Amino acid sequence: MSQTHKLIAPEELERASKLAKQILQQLDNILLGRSWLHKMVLTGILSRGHILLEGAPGVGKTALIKALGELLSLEFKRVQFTPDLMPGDILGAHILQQDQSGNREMIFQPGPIFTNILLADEINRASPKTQSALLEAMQERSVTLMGNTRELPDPFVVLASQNPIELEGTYPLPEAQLDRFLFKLEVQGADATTLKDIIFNRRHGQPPKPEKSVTKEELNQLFACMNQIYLPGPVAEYIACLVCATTPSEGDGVAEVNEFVQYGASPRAAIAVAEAARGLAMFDCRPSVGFEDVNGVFVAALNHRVLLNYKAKFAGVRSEDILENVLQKIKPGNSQNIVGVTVETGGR
Amino acid sequence: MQAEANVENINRSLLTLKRRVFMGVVLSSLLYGLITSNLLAGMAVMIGARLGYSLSVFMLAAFGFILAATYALTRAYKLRPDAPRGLAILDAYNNAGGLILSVVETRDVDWCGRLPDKINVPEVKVNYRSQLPLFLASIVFAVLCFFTPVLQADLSHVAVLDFNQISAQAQESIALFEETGILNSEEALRLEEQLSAISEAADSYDPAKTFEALDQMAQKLQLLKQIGANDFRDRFEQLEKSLTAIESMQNLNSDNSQESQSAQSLLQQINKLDALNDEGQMNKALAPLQEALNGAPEEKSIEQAVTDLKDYITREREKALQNLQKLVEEQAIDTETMKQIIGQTGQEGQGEGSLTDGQTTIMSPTDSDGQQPSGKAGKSEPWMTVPLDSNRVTSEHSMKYKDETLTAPALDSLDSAVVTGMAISAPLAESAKIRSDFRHIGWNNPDGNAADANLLLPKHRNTVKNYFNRCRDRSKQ
Repeated sequence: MSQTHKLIAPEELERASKLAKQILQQLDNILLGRSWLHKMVLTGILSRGHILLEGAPGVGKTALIKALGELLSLEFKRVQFTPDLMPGDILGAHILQQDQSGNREMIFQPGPIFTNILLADEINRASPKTQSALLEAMQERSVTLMGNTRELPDPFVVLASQNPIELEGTYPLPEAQLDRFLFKLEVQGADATTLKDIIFNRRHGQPPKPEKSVTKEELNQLFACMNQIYLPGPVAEYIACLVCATTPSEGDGVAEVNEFVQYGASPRAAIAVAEAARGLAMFDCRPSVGFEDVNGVFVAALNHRVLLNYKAKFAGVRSEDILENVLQKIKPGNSQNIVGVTVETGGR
Repeated sequence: MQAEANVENINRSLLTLKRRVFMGVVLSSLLYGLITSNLLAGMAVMIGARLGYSLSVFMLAAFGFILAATYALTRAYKLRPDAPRGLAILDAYNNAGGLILSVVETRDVDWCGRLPDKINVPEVKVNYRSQLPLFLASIVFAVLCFFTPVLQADLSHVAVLDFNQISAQAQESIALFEETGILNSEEALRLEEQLSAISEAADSYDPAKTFEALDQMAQKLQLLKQIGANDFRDRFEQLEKSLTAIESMQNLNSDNSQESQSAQSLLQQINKLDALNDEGQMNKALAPLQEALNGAPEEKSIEQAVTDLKDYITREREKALQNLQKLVEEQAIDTETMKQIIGQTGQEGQGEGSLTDGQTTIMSPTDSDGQQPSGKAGKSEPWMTVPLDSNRVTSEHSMKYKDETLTAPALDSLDSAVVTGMAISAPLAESAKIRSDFRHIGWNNPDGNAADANLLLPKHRNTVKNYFNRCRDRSKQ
């Protein structure tokens, strides 16, 4: 209860929130009918997290990422992952070059990873060796080649896409790499109204150019504002309880987790939830993270981190269903532990 | 000001929430406690009924409620939400987005004004749905336990009733024997202690050992009665002889030498009375006569001393007669025995203490009219009220108790006995001398017609059986 933290000034937060909402509004104008997805993607980027987009071909994954690159005025590069793609094709390589005086030396030729936003399209089509080349870059935000470590530009965000239906000739992402993605977002197809708007207003489906791009300074202000969003103790405790509840345990716990989950979420997941919740709080112009922010990002942040067992696969249980159960069982303030009574929490 | 008001509003809401949670948990826990106490009370009643205890319904109900209330208050106190948890519940319920939490934690005045004007407090609902059926079931169980009869024989009254009467009568007999001089105070005290030991060791589930102990006590009292009768007989005989000697001496109107010789023989005769238990009183009575014989000039004459001695012996005889009469009145000694005692002394129908001298209060129950003694009309013999259980089996435990705890009835008298010889013989038949119609304990013969006063205890059975088998074996040979 002591004063250990100063909340962000209301004016500063309002300015940042307004800017974030403007970006979101433009994104909604460029790509129609997926406001929630756009908000989550933007939240992930403001949280400096990597995002894995999963969806069928043609639903606009690549278009979304390209629009983000244009909107944020960030350097954007795209890598089409193929089975013969090599790590050097992403990270870069040392090339022997001869200067005018005739001297030869190994010159480092940076790969496409040296950018702000990297679009890893169809990431699961590359071999595990190439996929693993991203591990250091995604976690450490640096690349080490031939003993030299090179920092990646700030911000560095990997926006990967994968196709869940054409699984032949693909390599599922290893758990270590999945854990490095902040969100795994499912990109759904558009409804009829949205489709009508697309085909009526967009010639060849070309999205319009953004009216205004965000400058790097403005983006840094957003990042700075994110860092000042306060995380109250009970909310942090709530996140910890939620993440711990995804781990199977004997005795008390969520029954579905104990039955269908093989491995629960890692501590990195709790950090991801806290960071992403800050993004949502900023969007709503609140100086602190609330329970609804946590609930909003919990499933997206953990659905790819919870490893289900074969029983769940046979039963057709998805990790999203289990996480929804966890959200229903664990209540803010641990009110579910007050045995014998029911305390109403939220949902008014 | 607005900020302070909002913070105050949060604190008020927090207190309200704590109160609601506390009350909810108290109600829920009270219900659980009552369910448990009902079940425990029902079981306690069942167990108590089995053991013969009757438990008070109101006591159990009060105890159960206090127990449940204590449990409920303790549990509510332990489960009460602390401030951060309460604030978290309030924040989540009001969709405040962490603002309530952060404002209270950081005390940031910039955001206090943005708190909601009214902070709603969530309702706390007790989960009655699962508890009420259990509660009703527990009440039904407790009521059934209270009213369900326990099919079990109550043995607690069976042995106690007769046993108390027997014990009381034995107590009276001991007191009577002490009063009449058959027992001295130490022996009486020892017998009373033995009787109380039997009472303390009485077990209604195994009454055989108690009854056998009382058998022994009755045998001992019977033996004492016989010894007392013999003592009375000896005392009466000595007293009568002394009186005869004194009277014959008084009838002699001779000179001093004859008188002196007669007095000397009288003294020798009376000295035998010292063996009787008169606690040295006889010596005091004989002292004047002894001094008169020694010729002390200032003492009384021999004739006067003899007269005083005669008076003393007459008083002693009357005193003994009164004690004897008391024993007869209390039915410790029958009239036949008394007649034998008095008749042997040759004083029957003579003197002031004669029983036939207009005193008809002492009668035998087997007198000619066959009625009860006049002083006991309508009162049954208490020793005869003990029900005879022919199926009573002497258990090993009872024998052990009797052999190790109780002393043999005639053991005390045998302590001072001298062994003069040993021979194998058949059990002696009861002599006619010690037969009595007034037996205190008539275990073997409840109708009162048995001639044998001694008991044939189970431990004698093998001896008797072997004896008769031996006779049969001899006849075969």
